[in-house]
Amino acid sequence: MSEYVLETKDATKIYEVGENKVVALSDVNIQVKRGEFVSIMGPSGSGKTTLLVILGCLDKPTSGQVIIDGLDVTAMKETELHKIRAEKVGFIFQNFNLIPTLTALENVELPMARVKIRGERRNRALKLLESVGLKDKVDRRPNRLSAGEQQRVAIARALANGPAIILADEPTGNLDSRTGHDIIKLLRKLSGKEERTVILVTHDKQMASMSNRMLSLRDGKIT
Amino acid sequence: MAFRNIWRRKARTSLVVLALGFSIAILIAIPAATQAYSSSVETTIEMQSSAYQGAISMVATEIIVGPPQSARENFGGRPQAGFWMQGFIDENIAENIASIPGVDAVVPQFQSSVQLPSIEGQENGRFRMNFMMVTGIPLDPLLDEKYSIQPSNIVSGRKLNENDDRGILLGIELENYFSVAVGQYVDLGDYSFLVVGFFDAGNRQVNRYAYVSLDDAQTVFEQPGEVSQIRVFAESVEDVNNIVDEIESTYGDSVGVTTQSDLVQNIPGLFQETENTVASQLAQMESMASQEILIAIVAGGLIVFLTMIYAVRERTKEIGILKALGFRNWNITSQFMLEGAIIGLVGGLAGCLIGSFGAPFLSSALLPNVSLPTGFTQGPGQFSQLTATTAPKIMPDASLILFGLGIAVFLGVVGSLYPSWWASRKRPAEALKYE
Repeated sequence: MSEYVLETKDATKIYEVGENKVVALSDVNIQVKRGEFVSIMGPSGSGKTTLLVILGCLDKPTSGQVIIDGLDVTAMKETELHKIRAEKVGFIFQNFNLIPTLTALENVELPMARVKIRGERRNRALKLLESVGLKDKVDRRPNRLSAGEQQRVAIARALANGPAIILADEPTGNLDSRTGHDIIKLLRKLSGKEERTVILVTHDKQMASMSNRMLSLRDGKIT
Repeated sequence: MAFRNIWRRKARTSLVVLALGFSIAILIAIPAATQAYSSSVETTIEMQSSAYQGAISMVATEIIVGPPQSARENFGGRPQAGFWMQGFIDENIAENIASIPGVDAVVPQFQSSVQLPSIEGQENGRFRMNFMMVTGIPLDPLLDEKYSIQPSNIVSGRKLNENDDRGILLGIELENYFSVAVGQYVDLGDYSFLVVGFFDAGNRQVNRYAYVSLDDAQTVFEQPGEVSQIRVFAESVEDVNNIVDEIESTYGDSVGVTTQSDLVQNIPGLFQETENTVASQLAQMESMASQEILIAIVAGGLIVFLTMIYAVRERTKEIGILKALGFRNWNITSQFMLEGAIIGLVGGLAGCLIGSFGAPFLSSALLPNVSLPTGFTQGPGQFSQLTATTAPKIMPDASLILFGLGIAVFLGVVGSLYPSWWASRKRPAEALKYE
């Protein structure tokens, strides 16, 4: 088994915009160990989100490889990638991206729909919400939760299927600094205690400083 | 989740359900109406067919014996003291004819038109009339029962009976003209007649007829022992020719004999014509119905399609989230198809309700009227065809309702097929960026 849970080899992503080609990532090589908390920093347009999207199998690099848990996901078909996304990766977005028609509990249960049977889902979702401090608000819909609470639900949802990797795209971007700090502490706890790999994309140096390792991206390259 | 997504846009969903409901209502109401009309026409034609058979056998046995053609030309339409007198024949001829073998009954009749003065102030009104036709008939209830000598549709009072001396049965048009009621008197020439009843023959001309006893008619018009015509009824159609031969050999040119053979020959043609007219009306109705059903189906499908396209575009980001959470294309496709099916089902139920209760209104608004022949009635001395527009009871049956529901769900699924496929094909990264 590979030493690294997440690895990229010369990952390059080029977008074609009309007749122009925009290089979003250029020969990116990173290796992340199990349980590591890595933050990626860089100015807007440096390719942070593109890298995260590629690491989370939401898109494929134009060239190069992405290896998750020893599996080359760039060689996989779309049908196989669904499974990787469901089981190996948990996403946390800046805008929380909860389903507005579902309660906190149902949002956390949602990713388990394909993996776990109904009874298990409910118990596990309740435990996860309890672990992020939302035991009393499980039946609330997102519009009745504060921004910080919504992000906690999103974290619980990201953990639903027990993924090895948590990818967080500016998770504190829409939160006040205190709440943001709490969220980063929660992520740190995940990497430390639960041995999950956390990749955090952020603008905020203070938040990034709470990670084990900081990577900097500029013009699509790790610097 | 599908229910909640559908209910997310309440106004839009309600409108879609209503619009789809109307499509489905048309889908079930129109075939229900064409079925009802077809079956009503079938029943009417069957009834008419047997009525024709009866009428033909009855009419075909009738022979009219009257004055010779030359006598009618000489006397016909000649004014005499306010009356238009027709030619006459001797009443005794009736008794002689009655003894010819094969004759079932003879009905001597006296008929004369009477000029009526206009009522002041009503010359151009509805009471304006120039004449009434007075018919003298034998007052024999058994004969009347068998051969309908008197009009049968009595609207007030009663028919004449054998005890009525100076009794008169008036057509409904004359009630207004004379301003009389049952039990009051009208004058004919120098005589007063007690009004026993009024009839409505359904024909304005015939409603100007007045019936009195044969004796009274002969007295009023001062023609004792004379009759205008003798209706001779043979026992069977086979006897008609023998009877006609016998009358002609006995009375030669002093009488004119006519049979109803021409009319009888025309009846099947008339019948066929009516059938053809109705068949063509039904064919036109069915063709229009097919077009309307097609439009309803296409419109229903289009409504669901456009709604689902809109829903998919609106929820593209959610599709991205689901994909990021590991949902497969099929999960997303089936989610939207389920929503389409639910919209279809609810729309279908609404359509069945609207269609069941509104079928008569929808069909009358969307289909051409069908004029259904209601049968033949026999007026005094004539044979007339009545047609009327009838509205059969239109109610979609269970199979039609199930069909409507099935089509609604089918439209829901098919209408959401492309939008849901399009949704599932979205690349997750692209869908997530969508706002």
